[in-house]
Amino acid sequence: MTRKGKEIIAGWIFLLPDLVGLAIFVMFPAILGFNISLYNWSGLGQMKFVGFTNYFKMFQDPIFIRSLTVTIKYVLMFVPLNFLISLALALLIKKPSKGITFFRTVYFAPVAISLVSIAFVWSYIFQQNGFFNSVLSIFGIPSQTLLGSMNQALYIVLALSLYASVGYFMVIFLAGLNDIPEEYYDAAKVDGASFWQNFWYITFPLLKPTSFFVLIISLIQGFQLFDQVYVLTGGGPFYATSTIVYYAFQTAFEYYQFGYAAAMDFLMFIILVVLSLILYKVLKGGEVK
Amino acid sequence: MKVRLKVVVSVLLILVLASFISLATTISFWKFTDTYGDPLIIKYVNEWNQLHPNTKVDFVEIPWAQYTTTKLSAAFASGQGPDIFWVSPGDELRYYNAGVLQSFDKYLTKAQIDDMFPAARDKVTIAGHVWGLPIELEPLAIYYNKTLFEQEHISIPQDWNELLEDAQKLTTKDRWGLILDPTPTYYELFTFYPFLWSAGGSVVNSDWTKSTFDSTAAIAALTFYQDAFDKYKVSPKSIPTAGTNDPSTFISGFGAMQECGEWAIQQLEVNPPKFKWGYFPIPPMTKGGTSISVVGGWIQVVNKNSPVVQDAMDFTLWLFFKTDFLKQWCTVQNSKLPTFKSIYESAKDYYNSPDWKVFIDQILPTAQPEPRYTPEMDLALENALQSVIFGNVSPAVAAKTAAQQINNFLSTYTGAH
Repeated sequence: MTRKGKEIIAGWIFLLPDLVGLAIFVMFPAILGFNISLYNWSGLGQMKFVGFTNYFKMFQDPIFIRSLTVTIKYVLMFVPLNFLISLALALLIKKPSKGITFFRTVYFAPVAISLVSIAFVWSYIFQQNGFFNSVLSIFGIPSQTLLGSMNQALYIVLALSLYASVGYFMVIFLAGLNDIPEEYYDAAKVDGASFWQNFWYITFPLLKPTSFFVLIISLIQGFQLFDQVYVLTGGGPFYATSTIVYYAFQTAFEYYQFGYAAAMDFLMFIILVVLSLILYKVLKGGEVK
Repeated sequence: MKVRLKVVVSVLLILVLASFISLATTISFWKFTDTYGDPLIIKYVNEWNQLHPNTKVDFVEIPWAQYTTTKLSAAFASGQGPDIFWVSPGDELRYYNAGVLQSFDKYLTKAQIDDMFPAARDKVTIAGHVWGLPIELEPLAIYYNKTLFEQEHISIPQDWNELLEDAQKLTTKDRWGLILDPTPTYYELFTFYPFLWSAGGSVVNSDWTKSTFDSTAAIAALTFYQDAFDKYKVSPKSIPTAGTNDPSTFISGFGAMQECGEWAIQQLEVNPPKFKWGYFPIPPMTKGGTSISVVGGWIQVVNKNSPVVQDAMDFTLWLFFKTDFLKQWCTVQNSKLPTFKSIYESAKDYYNSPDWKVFIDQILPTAQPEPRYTPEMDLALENALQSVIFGNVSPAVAAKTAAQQINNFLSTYTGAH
């Protein structure tokens, strides 16, 4: 066998554990899930084959449409805000200075704490007579309905998600920033470049691979929003924070329609695959030329 | 070589012995976690296991949220449902329609069935047959802060208008006047039924061919909820994670009044609040009308598809009829009303105490059993409530929409009711 042949085989052997894991724990359940989506099934008794009825049913279900709208609205806010805030934090803490370790710890700390624990505490802070309204009253601002408000609840969920995730992506960006050779900045300094010129012509283009990773992961996270909704709002008030994943959970485990829930989950899987491919195409896979 | 042979033989012996041990039957018994009641169940399970070393019960406590959503559903979906489990009357129909429940008819005597209170017997009877054993009766009332009532010179409300007026007087920026359940769950419906019934309303006709929810009575009940949550803002639209079926919300002073069940009595005695408390029947819609509460309470059932049905039945019947479990459950470990007349008679001294007087004399006589509806009907009702509480939808529209959704469902429904 040629050397190249051996290298190819070695490569596949190294990939094999991950591929087997993906097949068993991701692909196989996805195929099973698609199979269940073709049936009506309450989880008890017999499954009844209905073909693609569950998929057609989704688009006539006002709660599904509402959940899809809420999910898209949330993702459109979460992804850019998460990107900008974590990048800003990474730029702020990149340069070593006095006390920088403290700030790095503070920004990263929420990542190390269980999201459910954070959400539990927030559920008390953002009650109508909770701590947040007490603070507002000090400034003479009237008490807000917050988690009980159809207009405000989603923003509290968004704030919690950002609080819990920017630390992680900050670290990712930090690694990307540290990969950019200092020589580029030195050369720019000689030419008298400003901070924004440095950022726009050096930092941002060379951060493309990292940016691609952050965008893909936060897009997936956004669509998979569940924990915060489950603890803070239960999808309410009146579906104002009901996402596709949460509605699928309710449909399966509270309304006992496993087939319909599986159809929603499979549709979301397709949406994520398509969006990821579009992002890959637009950003050219994060390649820097 | 000799040493290696000895090791191999020893391992083989251990494996053979282990296989004999595993021949003992195990009966799985699942229940939601209950810090007050579970120690009692564990005590009797241990007693059974000592008496029956070849037929052991494996009692599993599952956190409430998981028990009522993922755990049981996933277990039955994968064909690994427990042999014995607890089910609420609201969920019983789903298991019955799927053929999961084992009938108790041939295991109970007529005397034992007649010994059940009618509300308890109705809970476990479907299509004329008994499908489980009722553990407790749980009617609802409104708990109130007596100290505040005295300070504000408020008397017990006699109708819904007075209830709302009192709640308004007691609502401050730090306290709600009346805690009702705003979350779209089965418990929200459980606490709504007394208001619906007191107004003379219902959800469906007796033969389940038509929804009766599009009525002036249902509109009145939905209007009451909209007034409490939205118009007068005396009920919180979001509640701490503890939930409204937990009196800790009331004990903490979060609300001056809270609709809750008789299980709260035990908890109020164990964790007494810093104020005097009492409870009163949920007021009727108008003065002089009838106050109608709802009576819930869990049921112990046996999985018909269990490989150890007879053993599971033996344990259940032993627990209910050969031990003091039910009396201890209702009067010592918890504060619950019993489902059997003989238990009530044997604990007359306990139920004659002042804490129970209103429940027994005023609430229980007119209380109706928790209804058995399907998840589809529950969803329609929950949406009606959610839309009037949060969506500013007119109660008339909400009632009509819910009735249409229920009628659509009933047109193809062929299960029991």
